[in-house]
Amino acid sequence: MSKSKNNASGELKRLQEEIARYKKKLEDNKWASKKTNEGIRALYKDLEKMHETLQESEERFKDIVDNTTDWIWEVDKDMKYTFASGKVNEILGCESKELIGKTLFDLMPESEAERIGEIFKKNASEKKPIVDLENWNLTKEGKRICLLTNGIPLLSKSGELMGYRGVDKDITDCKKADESLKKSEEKFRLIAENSIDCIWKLDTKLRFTYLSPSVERIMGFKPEQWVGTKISSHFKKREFLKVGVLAAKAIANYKTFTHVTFETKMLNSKNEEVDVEISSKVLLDSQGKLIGLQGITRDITERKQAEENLRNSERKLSQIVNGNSIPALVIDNDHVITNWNNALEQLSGLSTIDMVGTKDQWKAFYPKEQRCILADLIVDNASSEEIDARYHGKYRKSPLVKEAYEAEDFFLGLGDNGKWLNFSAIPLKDTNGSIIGAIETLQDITERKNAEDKLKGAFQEIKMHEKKLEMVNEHLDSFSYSVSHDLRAPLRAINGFSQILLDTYGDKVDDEMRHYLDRISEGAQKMGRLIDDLLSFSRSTRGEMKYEQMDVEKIVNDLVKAHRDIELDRDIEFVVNPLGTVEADKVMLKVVFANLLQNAIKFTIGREKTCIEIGGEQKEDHIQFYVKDNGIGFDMKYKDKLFEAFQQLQTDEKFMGSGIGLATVERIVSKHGGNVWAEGEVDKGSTFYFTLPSKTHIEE
Amino acid sequence: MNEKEIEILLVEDNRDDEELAKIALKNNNITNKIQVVRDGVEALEYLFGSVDSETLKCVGPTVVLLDLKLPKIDGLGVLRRIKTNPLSKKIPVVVLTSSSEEKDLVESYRLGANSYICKPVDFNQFTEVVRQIGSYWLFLNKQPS
Repeated sequence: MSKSKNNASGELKRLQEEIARYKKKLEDNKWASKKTNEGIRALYKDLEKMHETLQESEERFKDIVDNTTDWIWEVDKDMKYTFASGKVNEILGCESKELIGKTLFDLMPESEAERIGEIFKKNASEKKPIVDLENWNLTKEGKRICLLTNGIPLLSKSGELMGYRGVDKDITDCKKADESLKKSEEKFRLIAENSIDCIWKLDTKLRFTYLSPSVERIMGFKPEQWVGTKISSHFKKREFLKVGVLAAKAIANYKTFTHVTFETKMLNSKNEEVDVEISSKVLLDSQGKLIGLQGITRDITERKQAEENLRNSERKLSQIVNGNSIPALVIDNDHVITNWNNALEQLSGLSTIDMVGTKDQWKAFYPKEQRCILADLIVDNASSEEIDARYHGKYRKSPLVKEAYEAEDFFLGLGDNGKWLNFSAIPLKDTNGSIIGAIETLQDITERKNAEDKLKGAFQEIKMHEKKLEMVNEHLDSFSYSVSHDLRAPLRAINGFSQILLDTYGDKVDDEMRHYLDRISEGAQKMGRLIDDLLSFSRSTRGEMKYEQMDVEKIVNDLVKAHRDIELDRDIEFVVNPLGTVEADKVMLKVVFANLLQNAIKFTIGREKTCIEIGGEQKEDHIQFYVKDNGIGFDMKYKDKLFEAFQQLQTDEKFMGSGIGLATVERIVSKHGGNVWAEGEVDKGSTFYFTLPSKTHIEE
Repeated sequence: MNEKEIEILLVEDNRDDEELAKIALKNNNITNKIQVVRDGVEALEYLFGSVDSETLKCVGPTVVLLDLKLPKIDGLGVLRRIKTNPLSKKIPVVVLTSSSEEKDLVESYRLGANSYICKPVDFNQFTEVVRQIGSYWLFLNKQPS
């Protein structure tokens, strides 16, 4: 704008000079002018023409000044306005008249006025122009306006500063845009610098132009150590091959390229690889021209570690399942088989390769019906009712593992003749407790089942035998009853009538007849005793035992008293030592002591003084009793014969018994779980011992 | 024989035993007061008139000597009938048997037998037993009339 003014004033000058020249010419040619008026008239015409031109030029200048968006000013040496173009009104909201006489700085805030004043003062002293000086002014309404001021010093002919002439441009809008740009840049900087991830920019040659401070945290390098370096130097070759291809693609196709995210490894300050995830997009300027790439690099070491841990634990599970000798399978939450171990391969005849990755688990167990197996129900978090519907009466909740079920069933399709399986399924859960699959283990229990069946069969057989035995015992009972009843009656008749014969016809019976009748009667009596002993022996070996606590001394004393009452004609000394209490069948124990006492009494017949001693002794886990006599004793080489039924060691008539007494003792004692034995010497008496367990019952 | 004079009802199926018993009783001078029946049915008919009757046919014997092993209705059956009927339960019943089985002894007393005697094989002992029974139940024992 000043240029056009300069042009205009230059033109003016030139024209003035031209006028002067013409004036001189006029002087010089005064005479000539006199010569011809026409010539003068022509000259005036020219002059008029020139004046018109000048006027036109001034008009043009005015037009320019008035129509420019900037405003033009002139100040004197005190920086007071001497001229202000009309536009000032639009810019500062005041008439140019109002400005005249005010200084340049009157419209500025105080601090700004001071700052700008200094610059003007300095430039004025040096007579320098003011170039692109931004300064803030206040409008009449108090609005902040930023002006870009350019001005040239006005000098007098002598070179003194007369003032400045210049032009101001309103750059408020530009300034504000600039400021908001700065603010958003600041914001970006804050985000970038406070981000955990590293934000970066690359130029088109893949050199870093910016890195946020996090690069130090992730890589151990300061941003400035990387700025200017090529990215290739931060990867191992193998990794860069991948990354470089991606970057080259992005750059080559930058117009259509949106963004890419990938995982890779970058080298840190220790030259170790760090797992990172990179997200990148192309960076374009406002014209859409490629500047480079920008993106974010995130440290994913922990995530990778977690993934690795997960893989390890999956591998562990696989090893546990696959290496197990118990058939097992694992399915994921989509029911897809992930493990099918060798043991199951053998059990089912279906190979791991064929099964893993499929949902064909049903084929192994229900070849004719595509249905779910227990693990499928577990994965579906099936209710007890649903499980019951499939495995009614064959399943139960695991007593060991929460939420696990176990079942037993027969599978016709397995093996040649089908197999019994015991199987249990357990849910597999993630850390949140969501079911991510299930593991099912199966055990072939066919042999156990068969053994159980056999055992059941054997048990039933035993039951049957027991029943038979019971029947035999019942028969034996009624047989014994018959014996005791019916066998004795004829004996009574034999004995009775031979007795009556003797009593009634005693005077007619001679000695020989009497002898025979006595023999008949004695024989009958002997047979009666034999029957009694036989019945007693039979009773001692069958029937239920009724254990009860009893005072042994009382039993023995009762028996001793009974014998004393019977054996009135004999001098017998009974010595009963303390015997304590014992738990046994009372009736049977009575029989034992009765038989042993009878035995002692019988084999002491003929002794001048009979001594029978009864005693007992508590041993570690049993009680040992003895019955000692001073009778005829026996030869120890026959000691084993003593307790056999119907065996007699004595041939002497007076010692003859049924041969059943000691056999009965032996039976009863062994039924109680005890032992019986005897010690003796011919003519020096015998001692019979027997033991009874202290507490434990010996079941029949 | 006048039923009112009957003092002993002997229930015995074995004729030898019956005769031996009679001899033993005769030896003790109580021969004319014995009625012998040979099985349980006869015994009940004698006492109640018929097997199913609940009323006493006679005043009743002073004592019943009852064998256990009898045809038709056995001794324990007869004993039960006598002892469960209020009219007959006061009649003393002495079980006189060959059986020395514990269970017979226990069952007899459970049903209300007044005595349980094993018949000895030896006749002298048998006579002694019969004498004692006779003297106790017929002479010593007092009963409500």
